[in-house]
Amino acid sequence: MINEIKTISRPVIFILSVAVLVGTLAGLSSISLMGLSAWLIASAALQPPLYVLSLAIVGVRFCGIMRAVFRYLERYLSHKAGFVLFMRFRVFMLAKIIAALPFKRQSSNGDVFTIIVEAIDKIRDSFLRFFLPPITATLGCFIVMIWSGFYSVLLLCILFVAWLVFVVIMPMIVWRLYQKKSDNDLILAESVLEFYDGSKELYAYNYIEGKLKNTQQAINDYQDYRKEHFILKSKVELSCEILLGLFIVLVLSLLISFINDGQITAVMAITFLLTIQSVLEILAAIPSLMEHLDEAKRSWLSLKSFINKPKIQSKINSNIYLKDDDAILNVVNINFGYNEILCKDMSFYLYKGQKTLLVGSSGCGKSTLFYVLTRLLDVFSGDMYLQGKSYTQWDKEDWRNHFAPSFQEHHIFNISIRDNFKIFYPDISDEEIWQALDKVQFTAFVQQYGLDYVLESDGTNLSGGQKHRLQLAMCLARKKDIILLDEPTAGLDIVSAHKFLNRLITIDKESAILVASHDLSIVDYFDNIIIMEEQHIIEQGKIKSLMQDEQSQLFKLMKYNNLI
Amino acid sequence: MLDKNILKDIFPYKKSLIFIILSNIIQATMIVSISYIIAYLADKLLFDELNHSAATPFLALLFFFFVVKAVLNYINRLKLEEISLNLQSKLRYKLLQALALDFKSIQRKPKGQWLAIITKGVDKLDVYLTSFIPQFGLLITIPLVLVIFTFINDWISGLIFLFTAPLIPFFMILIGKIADKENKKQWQVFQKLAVYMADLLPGLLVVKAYNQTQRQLKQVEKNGEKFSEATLKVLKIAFISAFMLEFIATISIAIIAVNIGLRLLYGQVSFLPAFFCLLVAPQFYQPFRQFGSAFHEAMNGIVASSEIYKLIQAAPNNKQKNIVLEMEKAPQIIFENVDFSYKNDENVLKNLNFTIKAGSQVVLTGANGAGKSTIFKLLLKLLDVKSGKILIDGKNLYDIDEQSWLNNIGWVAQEPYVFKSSLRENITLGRACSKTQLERVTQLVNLTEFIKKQEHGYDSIVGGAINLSSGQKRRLGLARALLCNPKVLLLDEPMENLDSKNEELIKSVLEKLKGKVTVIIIAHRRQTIEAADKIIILDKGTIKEYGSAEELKKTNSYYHQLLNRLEGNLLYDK
Repeated sequence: MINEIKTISRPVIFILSVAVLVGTLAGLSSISLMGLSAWLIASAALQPPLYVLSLAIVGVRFCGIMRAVFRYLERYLSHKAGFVLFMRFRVFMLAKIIAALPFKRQSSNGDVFTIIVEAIDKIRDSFLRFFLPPITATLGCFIVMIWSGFYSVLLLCILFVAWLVFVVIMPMIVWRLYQKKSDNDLILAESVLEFYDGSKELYAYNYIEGKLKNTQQAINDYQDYRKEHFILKSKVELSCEILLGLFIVLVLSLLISFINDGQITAVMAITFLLTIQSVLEILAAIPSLMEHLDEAKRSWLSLKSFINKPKIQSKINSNIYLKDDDAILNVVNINFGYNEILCKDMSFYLYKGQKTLLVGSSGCGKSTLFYVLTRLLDVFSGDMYLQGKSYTQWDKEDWRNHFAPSFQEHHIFNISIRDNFKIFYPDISDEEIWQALDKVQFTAFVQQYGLDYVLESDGTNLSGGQKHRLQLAMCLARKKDIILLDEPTAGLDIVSAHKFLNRLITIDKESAILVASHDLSIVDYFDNIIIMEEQHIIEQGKIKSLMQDEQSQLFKLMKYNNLI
Repeated sequence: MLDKNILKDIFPYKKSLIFIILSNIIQATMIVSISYIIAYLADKLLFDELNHSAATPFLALLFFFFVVKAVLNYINRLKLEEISLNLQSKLRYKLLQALALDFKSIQRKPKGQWLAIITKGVDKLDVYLTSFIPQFGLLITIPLVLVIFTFINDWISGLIFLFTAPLIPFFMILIGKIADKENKKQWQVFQKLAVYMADLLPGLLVVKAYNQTQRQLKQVEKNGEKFSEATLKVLKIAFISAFMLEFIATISIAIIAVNIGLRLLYGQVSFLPAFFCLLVAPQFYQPFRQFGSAFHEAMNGIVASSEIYKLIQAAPNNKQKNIVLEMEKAPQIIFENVDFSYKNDENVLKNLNFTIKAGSQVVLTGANGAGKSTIFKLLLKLLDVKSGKILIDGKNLYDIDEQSWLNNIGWVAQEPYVFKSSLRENITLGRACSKTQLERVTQLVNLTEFIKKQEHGYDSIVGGAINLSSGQKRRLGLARALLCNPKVLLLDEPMENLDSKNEELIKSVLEKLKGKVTVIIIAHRRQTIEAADKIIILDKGTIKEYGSAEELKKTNSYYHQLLNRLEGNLLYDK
């Protein structure tokens, strides 16, 4: 982690150090302004020589202007650095998140992502607010400490104690207190998403008011959470203010005894009083900053939970399948899943120019298998051979270049139709797009609106079937060795579905096609079949030969569905 | 600067607000007292002897004032936060209400936007309420009290206060106007970024599968930079205004210090009041400075609040209609010359006429975009017909009260939404029902065993430990629809994506409903279509064919062609 912070922050280290310097100077100007003013007035009352006074006057003005200038510079620089940092952090986090994809709860990926974005934003804000003030306050305080040390060690000690209290002890206590607070930050976001995604159900069942009443609890929990934090923050500020008063009174009483002892002059004492008061005021603001650090930590933890995936290695003894060198893809005894094994011992071949149908009930692992085949998800054990070469010898990206997958949650982006294609194929030409659209009979729609037609996020301005066809077109736009289609006919009406499958047979004579579906009525379009049931393959083979065998699972299933 | 809607909403808390103003005034007098004691002690130190025992009561008093000031400040803050949280909770409630009905509008606002406004947008009001409004109060009370006491002590310093103070609001207004514009721009950029991210993230998986991660990350960087630029622009203005405030404040303090110093030198003023003025000076300008920074933080809140109130006020309200339905038995549904179009486009439904007999089961089928979902939306009263009538047992649906109608129908989406709450709540959706009723429907859809297997039975939370397969979701949706014995059932592709077991189950449920419930099904699958009493084949908003499966099986009918394709006879026609 430290290394990562280093890499992210490298380009801004210079700006940040300048910001620290400028911030310290701003603090010092502010401290000197009060100190010098006090000296000016106190000594003026004692009728000093005029040149001393003029010098002090110039000094006071100079400090006044410098304070304003430095503070401006500090803010500007620290924010500038903050934004650069944030940009780099965000890209870094996204890269990590992408590396961790797919998440187990695929259906709620969107929600997960919104949570992630929130967390990243929070870390930025908190970091910006937390990082600089303690450093500049400490530097300013130590400089005043050294100065006062020339006059009295006791004053130095008091300042040091104040520094310890405000910058070390109080923050530590406050930090502990924050750690005890519950974490309820995400409840509200979840409720919002529920209202958004479930609004039709809420409406149709007259449940809006009822759900609102239940949600009131979530709102209240969220508010309570915020309130708790607010009270803690206010208490911290209260104690800081009281401590500040205590220190000022202490310094004052110390100064009085110094004068009585003749240790320093009254003028110096008054100067010290105001100088130290300014320092203390700056220090007293530090403990309440822990709030930001706490927020950053919480957000970081929620981010981490997404990034770090538990890796499960398992060894399962299984029948050894033979490698077939003719097959373009050869899957041998793979076990896979998210946190636990979802599918066991799967072995099958895909051949160039042959179409394979993968049937199985929903939730049996068909979709997950597609993630494994495209190496988005690692296998626990087993091997996969692409062009006869084990997956361990392939670079992941090179491997993926041989696949054209279409997942069920294939997202449509809130950009033009053309740009949607370009997301997958940056250099695709309009001609290629039209060809792809033609493959799925989607040209009529696009001709009507044009390639520049901007689609809504997730294709909400398209009907289910339109969306589906567009997704398929994107998948089929370039020739790839292996085409993976997850439920390609879902949401298509019968005519379109069969037209599409007809086309599929003719368009890609060279590619190996694997189609996952629950629909056995399309079996005629395929050469091979893999039947899955509860985590493994129960039957696979040539459809023609299986259909002749009345004992085969396929035959029984077809019969059961009145398809034969 | 002060949002009218918010002021209206915090008006009921006026007692607390008056208390806060009063305590502000006391705080101001505390500041005066503290400064005066310190000045008094300094005076004694310079010109008199001051031994420790003489100083002790003053020091004690000084500390006491510090404590009083701090405690008052603490109470104030808590009171304000209370008001703020109450208001926030109220607004969030109203926003969720608006969100729940937003899907009825033609252009639904994106998820990211709603999320941003309900969480962060409302949060931003907190700064406005707990920092900006009290600062506004402090801005008036503290300088006023301090100026009065300064005048008593040293009228020249008082005059300097009075002359420099108006410079601050002057600059504030000047800069505020520019900042306002920039703020609105920044808010837009922020929202765009939120929408962009909400759109991008769900697509990342496919992006990764197609090896386009790096390119997208670059795009994220580019978009983020735009946002940073916009924010920095606003911040620059905020900084400049802070700079001006700081500048005026420090210069004024310097002027006062120098002025007093010179007058002291010439013996025109005595030390005690002079030193008091110096001590008070930073305190006098502090509220202005704090107000300045609170103002810029609150700008976000002000922009957000206008957005919030706009959304709340735009929420459609439910019009009460005269006819309240109480259905005894399944109704007959007639579409009479129904036309419908979205906005002013071409009609999606064109002069539609059909009758669905009471208790019968009808399938709507046809190519995508034929108008099937639109018919459902009309029946759910999500849309109103452009012309023509939908008659429910002879009564015009338009005149029927929405709630009473919805209470009589069950609707199952293609993928029913499952809430992250208990199985019980997911089935009942807040409707009162007995235990036997609940068990009857779960039995009917064959979920009883599954529910019994769960650790907490009906009270198990879905989405946490339990994840439902799409078949289970469909069955849950069906249980939901059947719970209150609906008289009309609308099913959207009930068999799509199901395995044979689930398919069989839904078929048997439909069989049981025959005659008791009027069922309308959108379907593409042969088995579903054939099982229906009547089939309506839609094509581009008109009825292409209508009749029972037997009637439609004639050679050359559109239906016949459909079936043929299904049987595989036409599979290889090229």
